[in-house]
Amino acid sequence: MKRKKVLRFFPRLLIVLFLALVLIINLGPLVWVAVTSFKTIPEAYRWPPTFWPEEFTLEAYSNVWNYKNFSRIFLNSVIVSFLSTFFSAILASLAAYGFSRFKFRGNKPILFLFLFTQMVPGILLLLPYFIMMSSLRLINSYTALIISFTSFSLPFCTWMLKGFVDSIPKELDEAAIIDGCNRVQILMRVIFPLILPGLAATILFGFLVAWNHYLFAMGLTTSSDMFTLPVGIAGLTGEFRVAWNELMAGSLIASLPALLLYLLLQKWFVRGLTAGAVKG
Amino acid sequence: MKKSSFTRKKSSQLNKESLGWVFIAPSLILFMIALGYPIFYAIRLSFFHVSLDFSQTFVGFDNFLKAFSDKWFWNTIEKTFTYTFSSVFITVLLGLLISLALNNDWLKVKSIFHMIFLVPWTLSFVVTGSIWRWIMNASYGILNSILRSINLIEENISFFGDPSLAMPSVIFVNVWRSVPFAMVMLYAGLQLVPDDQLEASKVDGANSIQEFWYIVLPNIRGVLAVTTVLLTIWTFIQFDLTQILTLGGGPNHATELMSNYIYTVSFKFYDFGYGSAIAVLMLGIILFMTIIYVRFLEQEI
Repeated sequence: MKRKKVLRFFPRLLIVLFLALVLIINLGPLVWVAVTSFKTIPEAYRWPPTFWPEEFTLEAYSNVWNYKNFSRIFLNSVIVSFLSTFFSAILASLAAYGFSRFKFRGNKPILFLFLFTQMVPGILLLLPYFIMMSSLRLINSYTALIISFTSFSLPFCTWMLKGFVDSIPKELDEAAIIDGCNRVQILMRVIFPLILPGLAATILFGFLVAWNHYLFAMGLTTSSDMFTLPVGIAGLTGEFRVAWNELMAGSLIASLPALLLYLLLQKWFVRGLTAGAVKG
Repeated sequence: MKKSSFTRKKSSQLNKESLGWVFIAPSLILFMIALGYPIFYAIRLSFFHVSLDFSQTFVGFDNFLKAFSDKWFWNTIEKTFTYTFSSVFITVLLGLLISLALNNDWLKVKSIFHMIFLVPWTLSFVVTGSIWRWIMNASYGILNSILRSINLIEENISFFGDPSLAMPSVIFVNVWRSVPFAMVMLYAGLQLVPDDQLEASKVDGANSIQEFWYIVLPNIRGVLAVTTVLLTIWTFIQFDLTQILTLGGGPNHATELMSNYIYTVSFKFYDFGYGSAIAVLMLGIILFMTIIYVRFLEQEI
């Protein structure tokens, strides 16, 4: 197949240089994070900074991991992210199938409803949530965090998955109906296997939302035993004098699980991210 | 043939709206609990004064009137619009440039570039903020060191401490994190530009700029619109980045976005009623902006 030739604004060399520059600005900061995390505190505070650790040490990592209840916070993040991703993927699959296969009065309202869920400021919801969860005694609970994170990722996940379900011919459903399948069986046996790439994208997005969300994790937890990683990391920054090597080590630890999952699923994620938008 | 007409009949019977609702119901119920009720509650709260023990007294429009005469409220509106429109404009422009540069068939490493490029987007705003607070640190930051070594500056710059530099610095960090998203979306859009149109324009002797303006742009307008609207909404309601980079809007409110101000009012001054009123106004503004935008797009298409 012939590939497209879109635009020849610049000569090739310029394009390559431009992309290289983009990559440097893109990844340079992360390299610097890693370099800093392997330094000792005095070296991290040296001016001018050394570009490579003179004394290579894992001290920052062990310090941050043993800092107060960092490992507990890490575990909280894993539990909350895992469960809200799970719920989000299930609810999104059902809703995506519903939106894709059944005629509702006009699809515009659905799109607008989706946009509307993105529009509601988290801070507007936090105040009522805080009061609601206080009266239900759910402050400092996984439940409160899981409910909110699931509802945050669900709209985008549904939107992505709908794009995938739309691309499966309806004839397959019809054939299955003739074979005597009911709708739930169709979803499980016909649709699910075909939207696995979409599910991969959904899982990654749901995980990223829960893993990275800060405002609600901060607002709905008061005990440091119930913090999630963003709250824990923010706690490290907010202190009077920041141990930068430890903060960078903590940031890397906090980013690694999401990064690994991303590397694992990114092929499908890019497709999923654009599936809804490109079709419009 | 007979079979297919039977199929159509049966499927049309099954495609009833009522069955569809069964699949959507779980999500709808969650949204009623997690979105509908809290929004309703927040609107209610905005008409009340809330004491520390959460007891509420009805005060009518007092909270809204308070906002209109509060100079820091108007300050956050100005900052939020500046932040949002600058960020989104630069992000979309850069995203477009990069995706155009990447969309050349002689480039061999596209998928790897894609994979690496999206990495910053997987970072939380808290981590992003921490990283850049370190890089742009006034005393020990590597950016100051680099700028000094190439003689661009003589004294260290306090990027987040200088009131005139804080906003551009915060916008820069936000752009750094958002460009990958814009680029991935727009690159996918570019793949939809039909080959035959491009070839026809080549035959007609169009130059690159004409080709972009008359062929590429009309074809990617849908993706461009969705990307811009999503980025605008997400940026407008953002909270985390400024909370970390400038500790909630400093120096002297120079980067105080609406979310930061609402947070301060509610959780530092414990004025939940007033906080809710500003949040409701914020929802109103973003709703208004999106409706205008969608209308505008409908007219265009």
